[in-house]
Amino acid sequence: MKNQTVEWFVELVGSQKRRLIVSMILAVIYALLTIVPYLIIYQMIDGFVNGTITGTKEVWYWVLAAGSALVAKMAFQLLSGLLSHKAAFQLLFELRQKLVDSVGRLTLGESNKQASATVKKIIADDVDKVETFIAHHMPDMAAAIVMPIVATLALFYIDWRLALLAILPLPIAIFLQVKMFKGFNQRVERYYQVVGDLHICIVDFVKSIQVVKAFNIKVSSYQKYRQAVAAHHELVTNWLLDTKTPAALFKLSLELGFIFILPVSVWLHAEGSLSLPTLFVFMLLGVGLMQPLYNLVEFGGMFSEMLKGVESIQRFCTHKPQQEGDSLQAVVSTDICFDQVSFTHDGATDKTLDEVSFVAEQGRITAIVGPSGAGKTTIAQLIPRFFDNQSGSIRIGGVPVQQFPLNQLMSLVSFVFQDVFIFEQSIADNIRMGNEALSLAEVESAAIAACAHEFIQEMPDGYQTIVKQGSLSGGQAQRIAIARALAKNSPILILDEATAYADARNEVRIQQAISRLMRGRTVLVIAHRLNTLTQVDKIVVIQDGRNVSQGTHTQLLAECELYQAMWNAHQRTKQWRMTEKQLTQQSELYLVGKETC
Amino acid sequence: MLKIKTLKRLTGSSLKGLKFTIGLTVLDAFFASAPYGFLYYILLDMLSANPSLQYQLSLVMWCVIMMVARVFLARAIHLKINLIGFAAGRQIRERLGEHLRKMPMGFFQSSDFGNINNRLLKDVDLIERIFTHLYAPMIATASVLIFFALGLTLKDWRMGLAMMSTLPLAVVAYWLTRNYARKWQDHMQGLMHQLNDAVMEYVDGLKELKSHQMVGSMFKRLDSVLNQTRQKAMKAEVAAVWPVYSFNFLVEVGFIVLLVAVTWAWLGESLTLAEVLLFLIAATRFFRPLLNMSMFLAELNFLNLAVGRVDELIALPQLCGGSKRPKLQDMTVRMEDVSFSYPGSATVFQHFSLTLESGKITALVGPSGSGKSTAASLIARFWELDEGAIWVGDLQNPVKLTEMDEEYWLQHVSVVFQASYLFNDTIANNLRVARPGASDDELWQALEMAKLAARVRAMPDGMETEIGAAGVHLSGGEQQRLSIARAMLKDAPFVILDEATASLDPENEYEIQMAIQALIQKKTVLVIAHKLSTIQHADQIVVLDQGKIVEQGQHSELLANQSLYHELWHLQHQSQSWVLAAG
Repeated sequence: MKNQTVEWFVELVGSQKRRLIVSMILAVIYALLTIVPYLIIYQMIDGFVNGTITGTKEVWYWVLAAGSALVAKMAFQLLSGLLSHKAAFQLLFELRQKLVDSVGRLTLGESNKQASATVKKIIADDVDKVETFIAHHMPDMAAAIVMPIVATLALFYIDWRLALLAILPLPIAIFLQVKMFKGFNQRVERYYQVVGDLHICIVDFVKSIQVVKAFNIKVSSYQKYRQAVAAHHELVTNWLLDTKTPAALFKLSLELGFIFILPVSVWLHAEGSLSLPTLFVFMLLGVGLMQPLYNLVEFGGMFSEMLKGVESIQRFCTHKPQQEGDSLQAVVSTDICFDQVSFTHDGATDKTLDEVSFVAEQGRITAIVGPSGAGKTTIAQLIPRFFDNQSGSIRIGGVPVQQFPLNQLMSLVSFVFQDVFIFEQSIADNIRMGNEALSLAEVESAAIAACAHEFIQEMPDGYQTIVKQGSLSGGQAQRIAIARALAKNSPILILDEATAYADARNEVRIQQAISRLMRGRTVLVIAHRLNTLTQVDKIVVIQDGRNVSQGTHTQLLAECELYQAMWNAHQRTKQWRMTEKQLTQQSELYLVGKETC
Repeated sequence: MLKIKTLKRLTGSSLKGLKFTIGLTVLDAFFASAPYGFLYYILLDMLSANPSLQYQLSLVMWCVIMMVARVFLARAIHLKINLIGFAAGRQIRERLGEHLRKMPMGFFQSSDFGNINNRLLKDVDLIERIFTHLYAPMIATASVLIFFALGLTLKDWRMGLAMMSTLPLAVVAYWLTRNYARKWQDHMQGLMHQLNDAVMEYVDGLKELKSHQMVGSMFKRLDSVLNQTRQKAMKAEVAAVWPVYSFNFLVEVGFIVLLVAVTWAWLGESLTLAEVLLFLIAATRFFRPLLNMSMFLAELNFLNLAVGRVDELIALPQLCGGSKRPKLQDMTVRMEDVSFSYPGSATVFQHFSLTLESGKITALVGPSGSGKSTAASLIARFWELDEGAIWVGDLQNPVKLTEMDEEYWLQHVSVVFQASYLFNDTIANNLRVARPGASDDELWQALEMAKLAARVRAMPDGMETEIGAAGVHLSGGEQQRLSIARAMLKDAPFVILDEATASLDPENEYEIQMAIQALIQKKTVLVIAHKLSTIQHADQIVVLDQGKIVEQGQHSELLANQSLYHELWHLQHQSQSWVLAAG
């Protein structure tokens, strides 16, 4: 998995290969130029001590050279960074576009599984980590690797004995690092477990505070929360105690060069086999030689962090898209035919739909009814291919839905769901939904037919008022949804009848709007309230995903037991009144009462 | 800058040992700097007429001793500062927990759980990080800088000044460009927020976007945000680079200035070779930490934001609760002259008064937004009033709600939430929340009355079935009935009922109606009603519109009034007789 991810990542970065390579080369030059001034100063001192440099002017040339190298170093650093950022941002953009496309191609079942917060995290945060890595870490890493190597080579060239001492901290640092990471995997696993626990306990604690208060509970979630906090504390403390020595000394170990070089060089100098300028250059370059490696260790952690993000990105981008027809289909009729359709939700063991068959005829209203969990909503979602059925076929005008290009299929079908989503844009655009060709007048007439015109006009900027999810009341949002469907004007309408209305005023208007919307269309209604169905052309009764029977209201009332039972239950709820009277008396009492209203 | 005071306040204790640890860190920094002084004397001796190896080695010896001391110091500092950080994190988590428990319930209804969770989890982690990653290195770096600056200036003030000559410039440049950078950063952050929002919207609204063929780049809002981020990101990055880059650049220039000064003094023979070497070596030790310092500062800024956010949460007012625990026999509740508005939004009530009689059913009706739910929330003490008071008890001897112990009052109130929180625990334990000592029989009785007994009996382990375990999922209606069963067990004398508006099929709805019927026997009841037909026999119907009582009385009186109630009643009848047919 990991290798595949790296490969995929490399391929992805490919489009910006040139910029990135140049940026890394610039970073390497920058790294070299970091060392150069020290070497120049060393040469200058060396020349002076040995008497090869005599003139004042010559000394100033050397100083000028060192200064220029420093300035050049800064310039190269800047250039490298700018270039890597340019590449990174372009990449980011492409990556995000790709992700957005991929998310859009998920079937509804899959996108439901991916909560919006997860997708947000991937598109925003994970992609950002890629930016940090490419723009910052890649050039930095190149510099951090090249600089110690080149400096070491230079030092070996100057004096191999001291150079050996200068790299001595490296094995020590590696030893400490190894010690520090002993049992790291188990620790990390345990750590994530404890942090996960803490997270769950926090969520539980915060979410349950209301219940805890209402019932005045002393124990449970708060105790669990405190325990999780304590467990977390204990774990990190133990980890600290176990690794304190190597962890504390690792950074210090990289500073050991000084203490290794100094005694030996004092001794070698007294012996006469070490010149002062050599001692000097080792104090300049040799002492901090290994410090860039400290950064390298951090890069390692960041790289695997980024890779984790890339893995989630990859999972999305390489997701197989839904198959669709590649040529427009002639639509001769809009009869919807379910032929022995079976469907099982991903991961479920029981079939949601089991050989369901029915026909919703063109221009007629067909209602699906059944107890909750019968599969009514699933039937509605299969038509626009929010899910794909596993067996049987669903046809529109004789053409299986899989043979339509998705765009054509979508243009044939409109939906009005209970959970309306309002986008953060103007009301007009919320009704247009991408159809730029619609004039404002057309938008308005859709709103008028949807009984929405009145409240829209009362808003501060009328149709141009920017709204978003939650800024309209439930009833208003529902009317916007109806206006959308009216504006879209497709021949098939799928209606998930609302059961919840904010108030009676809204309800009446929505009902008027729905009546208008249904005119002249093939309508499939997911019905919850049976009393609205007395006039529909066909009622399909399903239970546990199977056909029970179908017919008109009067037919079913005479023939279908389930329908009778549902109808009776429904009548009972309508008659219910909240009182303190005894339950047994109630039904008779108010059945009588009802006659009078 | 280090926000020690705020941190002390947040941890609620004195951050014991922090000062001592800082002392150790400064000592460590001294031991890291002093060897360069010894190096100078070694160089001086090497260059003298008759160098003494023994003397040089004795100086080296001191350096070794200091290094050994640093090994122990590093361990001690690492251990102490981390322990302090972890302890601080734990203390803050515990304090936040305590604090949240005392917040008004309304706070939890109006705030985003994700945000609160982030405070408790991520922000506290970030605060720990201040200790575990930032304090010690930052103080050590600052100390090394000061030791070097002091030492070198004392040695030769001219060279000392030359070395630090560009430092003020660097600081000024940093400050000057920082505002510009910050402006762009804010801009970028705004774009990132927009991106986040647009992505959330894209995913949440995917069903709708698909059905309008607006997937991918067809969703203009997201597409344009993506394009903007690409265009602006580079500019923002360049802007953000300026403070750090100009700081670093000027610091590097400082090295050049020192090099020139040293060379000049050396050629002018006012500086010995040993001093030249000392200054050049020391300069490399001086400038590197200086560059690190700018990184530390940036990180500190970032981490301080977390401190600020947590502090903000701690600063939110808790419910100011009294301590009275009067015997409540008469459950009359009177709202008197109440004014209230939700934090940061428009007024809901102004001088609002309402009396709920003990043992009676009062129904609140009215269009959405009229204040029905708010009135109920205020009685349940979800929110503090802006003005006025709510009194409980008989008219002769009422108690102000704010003077009563909050827990005590909530013992007397059952709120049947539309969506009640269920613990990931057994059904029995979820019920016992309401009455800890309840026997199994009592639980079954409550389930029976809530019309849930048959369903629970059919579960694999009956009442001991874990909710959320494989295959055990409660539908919305069942959750609601479980919530009613809880209220039943709690048996509080005052019941607040938010009538369901959620989608329920007829059987479920009927069962819930039966359950409610059982629950409200002999109780003082406040119903937030949506269907007028269910409350027509209530003892008192209060019709609200825009936070005001427009009508009040019994069903028949209100109908006779021919006003708002009459209108709503007729609209409801009209909607109930509607049938699906093209119109």
